[in-house]
Amino acid sequence: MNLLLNGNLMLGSFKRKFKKTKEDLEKLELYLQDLSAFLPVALCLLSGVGKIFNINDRFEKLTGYQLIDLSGSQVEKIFLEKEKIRNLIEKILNKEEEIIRNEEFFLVSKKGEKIPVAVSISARRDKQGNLIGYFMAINDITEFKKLQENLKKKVKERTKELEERVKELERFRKLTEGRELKMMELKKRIKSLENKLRENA
Amino acid sequence: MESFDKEQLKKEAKKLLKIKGKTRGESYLIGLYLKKKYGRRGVKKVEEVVSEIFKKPFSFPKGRPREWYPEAKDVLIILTAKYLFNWKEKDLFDLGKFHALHSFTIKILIKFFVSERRIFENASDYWDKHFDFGSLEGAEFNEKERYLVLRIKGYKLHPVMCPFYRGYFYAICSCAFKGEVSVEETKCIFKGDPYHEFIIKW
Repeated sequence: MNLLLNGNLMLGSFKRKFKKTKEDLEKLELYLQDLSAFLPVALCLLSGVGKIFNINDRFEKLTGYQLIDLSGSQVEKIFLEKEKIRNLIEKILNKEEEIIRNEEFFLVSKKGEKIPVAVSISARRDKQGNLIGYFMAINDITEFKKLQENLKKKVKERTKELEERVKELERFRKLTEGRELKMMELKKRIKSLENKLRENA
Repeated sequence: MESFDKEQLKKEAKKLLKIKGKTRGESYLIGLYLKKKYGRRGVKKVEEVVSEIFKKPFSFPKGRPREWYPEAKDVLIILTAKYLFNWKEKDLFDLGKFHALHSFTIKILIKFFVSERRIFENASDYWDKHFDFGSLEGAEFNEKERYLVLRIKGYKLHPVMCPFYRGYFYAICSCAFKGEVSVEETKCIFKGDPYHEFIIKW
C-alpha cells in the first residue's frame, strides 16, 4: 500500500516537473522568437553542410528573400564573393578558427542589388563538440561605406588642394630664389662698379 | 479568392473529423503561411469557414499548443485552404516546406541533421514526438546510390497530406544533405498501398 502511495506521489511530482519544464520551454521559444524578430541584425542559421536553414525578419528585409526561397541553398548564393565565403566556412569546419568577425562582403539581394555587409560566422556545436551548423550575422554597412567613401573623397579633395598649394609655394620659392640670386648678382655688379669708380677717382 | 464548393468541403470534413489520432502539431504555422501568402484577409477567410464547419469560433493559435489535439483538425484547416484558394499540389508542397522550416521542434532537432544517415536513423523518434498514432519508419538506406526510403504507416487522413509531407521531407533533407535533393512518393495509402512511401535522393 505504501509502495503504491509512494509511486503515485512520485508520478504526480514527475508530472508537475514535466509540465513546468514544458512551460519553461514554451516561454523560451517565445522569447527567442521575439528576440530574433526584434534584432536589427540579419541572422541566418546554416546546417552542418553550409546550407541555409533559418533566417530572421531582418534578414528577409535586407535580402528580399523569404525563408522558403532560400532554404536548402548553399549560403554562397547570396554573396558576390562566393569563393571567399566558402573558404571562411571551411576554416571553421577545419577548426582553424571558431569565430570569424566582420569580414566584408557584397550581398546580392533578390532584386540583384549589391549591398555591402560585414559578416560574422560562428560554429554551432553539440555537447560533445560535434559541429551541427553555423550561426551567421550580417550587418548592413551601406551607410558606413557611404561615410567612408565621402571621407575618402574629402581626403582626396583636400590632398589635391594641398598639392596645389605646395605647387604654388614651389613656384613662389623658385621665383623668390631667382630674385634673390639676381639681387646678389646686382649687388656684386654694384660693388664692382663702385670699385671701378674708386680706382678711376 | 475563387468560389468553392462548400458543401463538398463539409462532406469531406465530416468524414475527416471522425478519424482518430492526436498530434502536437504547430497549426499556427499554417496561419503564418496564409498570412504571408494572402495577408490577414486570407487568414480570416479560412478561420470563418473552419468556424462554420466546427460550429464554434475558430482562430489560429498564436503559438504552439500545450495539449495534444486531433490531427484531423490540422488536416481540415489545410483542406479548407485548398478549397478556398484552389490550391494545387505545388501549394501543398510549399506549405509542407514552410511548416518544416518554421517549426520550433525542427530547430531543436537540427543536431540530427548532420548527415543523411542520422536523419534516416532518427526519423521514427521525430514522428513519435508529434503523433500518438501511426509511425515513420526508415525502410532503406543506400549511401552508395544516394537514396533513402521512408514509410509512413497508419496515417490515412486525406490525400492533401501527401504533397504536404513531400514538401516537409524536402525542406529538411535539402538543408541537411549535400547536393540537390528530390523527394518522390512511390507508394500511397490512398492508392491502395499499405502505407505511404517516400524515396529521397541526393
